[in-house]
Order: sequence, then C-alpha cells, then structure tokens
Amino acid sequence: MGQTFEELIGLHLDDLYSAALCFTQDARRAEELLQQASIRAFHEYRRARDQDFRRTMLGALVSTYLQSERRLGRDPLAPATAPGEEILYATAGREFEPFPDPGTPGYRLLRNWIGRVWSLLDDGDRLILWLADVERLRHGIVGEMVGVPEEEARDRHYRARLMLSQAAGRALSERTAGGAEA
Amino acid sequence: MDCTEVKRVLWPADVLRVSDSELEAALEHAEDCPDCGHFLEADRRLARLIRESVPREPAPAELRERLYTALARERAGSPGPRRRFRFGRWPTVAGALAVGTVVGAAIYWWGGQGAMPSATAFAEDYLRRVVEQEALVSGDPQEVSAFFARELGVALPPPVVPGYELQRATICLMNGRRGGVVEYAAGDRSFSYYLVPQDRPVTRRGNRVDVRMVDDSVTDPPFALGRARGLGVATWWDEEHRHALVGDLPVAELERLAPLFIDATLRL
Ligand SMILES: [Zn+2]
Repeated sequence: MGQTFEELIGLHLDDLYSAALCFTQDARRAEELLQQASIRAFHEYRRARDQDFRRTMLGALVSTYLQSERRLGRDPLAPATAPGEEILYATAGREFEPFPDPGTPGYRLLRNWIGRVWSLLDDGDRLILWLADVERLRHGIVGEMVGVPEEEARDRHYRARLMLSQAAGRALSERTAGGAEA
Repeated sequence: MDCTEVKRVLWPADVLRVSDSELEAALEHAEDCPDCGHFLEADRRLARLIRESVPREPAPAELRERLYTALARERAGSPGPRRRFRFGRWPTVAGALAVGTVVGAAIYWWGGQGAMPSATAFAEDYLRRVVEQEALVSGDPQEVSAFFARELGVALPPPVVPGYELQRATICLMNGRRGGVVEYAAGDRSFSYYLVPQDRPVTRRGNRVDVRMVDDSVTDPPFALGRARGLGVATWWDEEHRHALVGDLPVAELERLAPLFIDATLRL
C-alpha cells in the first residue's frame, strides 16, 4: 500500500537513529546526520517510488556520514586500514571460542560485553558490521554503499567479527578464571 | 582444499549462498573436519550474539518533530509527483463509487502542498502517538478549545459524547503538520478525535466520503469508515481540515460517534 515517506520514516526512525548513533558515536551528530540524510532520501524516493525505502534511507545515511567525515579530514574507509585476506583467514581457527547457549546467564553476559565492544571498533569496520550483520545486506551491496570493492567489504566485515569474537573470548576466559578463584 | 580456503568459502556461516562446485567441496570438507566445523558453528553463534548485542536507542521525540518539519518544508518547496489525485476529479470518483468499483481501493488524496494523512497514518499515530509537544489534561471542553486556539489557531470545543469522558488534549504531527488530538475514554474503551488543518483550502465543498471505503452498502455517508492497523478509523474533511476518529472500537460504534463530531466541526 502506498505509504508516504513521512509514514515510512516514522516506522523506521528508531532503527535509523540507532544506526546513525552507531556510525557517529555521538548523539548530536547522529541527529544532524539523520536529518540531512532524510532530506536526501526524500528526494531520491520521490524520483523513484518503487525503490526499497529502507535501502534508500540507509544509502543516504551512509553517504552523508562518509561525506561529513571526509569534510573533517577523516576517512573511515581509508585503504591503509584495509586488512589483507591472507592474515585474516589464516589466523581464524582458534579465535572463535565455544560460546554459551542462548538464554543462559553466560550468554547474556557475553551479549552485554560485545555490546560495549562495538564502540571500540574502527569507524569503517563498525559501519560495515552494522550493514552486514544488523541490516543483513550482502557484501556486494555493502561495498556499493560505502564505495569499496565487494572483497574489501567482506574482509572488513570478517575483521570486525573477529575483533568481537576475541573480545568475547577474553570475557569468557576472565569469567572462567574468576569462577575458578571463587 | 585446505582449512583456510574452506573457511574463506564458507564464511560468513549464517548466510545462504548459491551452490556451486567450490561450495560443495568446502561443505564436504567441513563435514569431516572438526576444526572447520567448530569455526563455522562458533561463527553462527557469534553472528547471533552480534545482532542481539546491537546498541539500540529510541529516536528522541524532538528529532522526530524536527525531521517532519524539515520534510514538510521540502514538500512545500518542491513540486509533487505526477500521480497526485486531485479533488477537481471528484465527480469521476463519485461515479466510480456509485457502481462500487473502487470499494476497498487505497487512493490517496494529496493536498497541493503535501500529503493528506491517510487512515493508516491516523491509526499509526494513535498507536505510537508520534510526537507529543504539549498536552492538556482536562475534562473541560472550553479549556480544550482554548488550548487548540493557542496551539493551532482553531477554537474547537470538543463535543460531549454520551457514555465517554473527555480525558485530555494533545498536539500531534501528521505528515509534517501540527494537528490536535482529543482523547475520550469509557472504562477500558477509548478513542481519539483528530483535527489536522490543511495548508490550503480544499476546493471540494462539504464533507464527502473518502475513497477508502470498506462498506459498499453505505452509499453516501458523510465520512469514510474502515480499519487500519487493527483499529477502527472514520475520516472526513471540510474545506480547511482533515478529521478522524480512531480507536479500538467496532466500526458500528464509530459510525454512531462520527456525526457528533461532524456537527461540532461544521460550526468551525
Ligand atoms: Zn578444515
């Protein structure tokens, strides 16, 4: 059914705000970013209403975010920070700890821990992690949105997951060590 | 294919892929390799943990309001899409209604400077109460009237509704326009009356049926009845306002209530 842009944005606003907050790590900037991106998406959506609203809005949010970072002299996706594939998959095996089952106290602890580690990721990796894992977009689409090749989007996504996994591993081993002492 | 290569092919473990010979070979390896099997299972669990750990914050109410205001300004400043449906074509729609061909159709009427809120928009606002800037808790119609005069420039004393009590009045933001909401309740039943001023006078005279009809047995009611988001919604308009009654009420009850509000608003 033909919902207006305003109705659609109302429905998605909490998610979009969470995304903007995750990208910028700053409430005031998140609000500015969302406002600029909404106007941009509004005009794009008006030109072609058969587009996917959320995809249009996310695309506008990402490009507005990247533009504003670059104006400040920062580039979250600077090539220097891109990881090399050989490092990634070769070191993979032991980084993934056996995680507790969903619903258990250990799982909840780990979830809270990982929630805090999001803010420690590189800006570019955090951006890609959101698009790939929260929005569940394919690497090709993520790459298009942020302006990097698909392989690079995939590698950065891998690195972000690996960092969260290592953090989870540390949390688990600290918990085990704490438990053993008690 | 060695373990590193298998992990590269099968990662991320929580994504479905199109099968090909490389994928088949990797899957076959992973089935018999504890290291790769462990890696993939851990990755699936991690993906779930990541999704569930996402830091989420509700958008501040002021941001919603600023956003809608900015969008309303954009609408006012740029020409609308070609598909807009105008009142000037009303006779065509009335004719179509008469033969019952557009019953259930969802056609939006767009004002010259922006979208008129649809029944769904009213229902969603009722559920979420998108933006509350000001609220007046009062059962006194004169106080409510003064509140709207101050906030909207429309002095509307809300009608007395037998069986219901006036609870309070608030301001809503519908498609970028400020409107008034009056809430009524009786026990665990409640409904809201919406009044949303339009930017430009509507060229159509009087209250007419909306095309969002659900009941074709009613040939010419002065309002449209329907359901949206599980709520009953009655909508009508006059030359300068869009009106709606929204609540978790049977449509028949809304049909009984709407004329009370239409009488009150005809005096606007
Ligand atoms: Zn293996």
